[in-house]
Amino acid sequence: MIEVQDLTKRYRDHVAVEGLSFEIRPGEVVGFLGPNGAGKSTTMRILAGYMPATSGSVRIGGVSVFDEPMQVKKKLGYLPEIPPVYLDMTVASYLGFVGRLKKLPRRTIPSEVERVATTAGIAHILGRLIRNISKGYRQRVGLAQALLGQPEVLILDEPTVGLDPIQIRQVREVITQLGAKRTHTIILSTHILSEVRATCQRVIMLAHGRIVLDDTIDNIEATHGTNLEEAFAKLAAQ
Amino acid sequence: MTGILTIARKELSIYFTTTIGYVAFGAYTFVMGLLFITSVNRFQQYTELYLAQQKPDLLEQLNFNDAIISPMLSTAGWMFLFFVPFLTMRLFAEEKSNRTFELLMTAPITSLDMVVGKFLGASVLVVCMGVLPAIYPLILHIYGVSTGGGSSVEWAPVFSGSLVIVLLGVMFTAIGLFISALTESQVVAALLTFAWLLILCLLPSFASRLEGDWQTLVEFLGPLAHVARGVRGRLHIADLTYFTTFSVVFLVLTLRVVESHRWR
Repeated sequence: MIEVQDLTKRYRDHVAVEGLSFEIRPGEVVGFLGPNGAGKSTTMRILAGYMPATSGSVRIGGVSVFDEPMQVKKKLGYLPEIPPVYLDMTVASYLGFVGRLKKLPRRTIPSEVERVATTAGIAHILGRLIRNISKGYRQRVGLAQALLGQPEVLILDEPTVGLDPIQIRQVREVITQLGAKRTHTIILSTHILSEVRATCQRVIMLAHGRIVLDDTIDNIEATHGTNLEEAFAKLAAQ
Repeated sequence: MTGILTIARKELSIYFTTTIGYVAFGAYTFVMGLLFITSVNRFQQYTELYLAQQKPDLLEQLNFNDAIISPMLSTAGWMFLFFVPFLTMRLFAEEKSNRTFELLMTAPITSLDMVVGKFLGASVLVVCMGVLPAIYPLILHIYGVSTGGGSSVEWAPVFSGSLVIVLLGVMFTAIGLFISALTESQVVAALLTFAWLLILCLLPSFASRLEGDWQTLVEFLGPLAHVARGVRGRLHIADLTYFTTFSVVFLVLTLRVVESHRWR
């Protein structure tokens, strides 16, 4: 579903990511793990078509993100690190706007909005102004926005950051349920190990802009023992 | 096309879910209304004065268009100097500071959709403001006809004047949009737009220090001379070309700035 070849992104003299190559199969839930500044967000922004790469290629569903961005963007749901919500809109009008932005068939938009609102657990606040809802709810509105139109690929950049423990559990549940359906290919980034364990089947670990580990959770546990915390800390420090 | 309309509709709705639209319209209509009342009063005072002094030649020269309508239209032009930066400052700057720009950039719409959509959304408001002063001649007309005095409003200058005011507003909007695309701060965008528009309006006063072709060029670049001709009912192709060219140039520049995010 997602093929990344030799992806490099440089900002003047700073290298954000270098030589990333990986492949993600349809229906897989993959966690991007790594300390802050490892290049997770940069990689996700490139995958989502927000910024170009310095070199390398990204293909989603066999189509190049750089050559055919419009075609790829229709298949994508993207939740950036900070939920991209308009504070002066109500939740319902915001989701309707994103639906039109994604060019969903006009008739299906109201039912789509209802569907994603139910999935993200925000159906009861549809009429409220985003300015007046809590950070946790804004995050879920961001998630709901990404789910509009049932995109084949979901890119979620730190979907649980800044949430309280209950909210974290709820968002994780949403992601786990989506992952279990096998209808979406999901990449999510985090620097919390337990999050990856709770939601993902596979881990790609980044440190200093490079991949230091790419394996399934089961395999990692088999080789490094159940104390993943320590194993990851060592890898990150390398 | 649907992308453009989606963006335009969103921009327009945000003006009216926030206080921006109401404040802008309220303040604008208030000032224009005040101006109308004072102009009508002054007109009446002069009429009475000339009648008392028995000066029929001066009375002959006194008319609604010169005494009330033209000054109001010209003032509307000056008012845009203050209102347009206030309306355009958020267009791109707010998207960037709120990180919603990322949503637009990763949605299946083009940069052109974004730029034209935002321009249209803000322009609808500005066009309404530009057309609004035409209500006052209409009031004079209706009042004149209903009191049996007949209408003494000349309509040609009202139409051409309203047209240049609308074009001026649209051109200012394009400039404001461009500046908003350059920065993340709405305050900076508003101030820079205001400064830019002010300099543009004051250009002809610098022109007097220049000579020959340079003087003609600098005078041509100032918008107010073009507005003045339209307000007097003398509309030239050159004036229309001036406003459209400026608007298109700034829209193209905005497009370049937005596009640059895709290859930076």
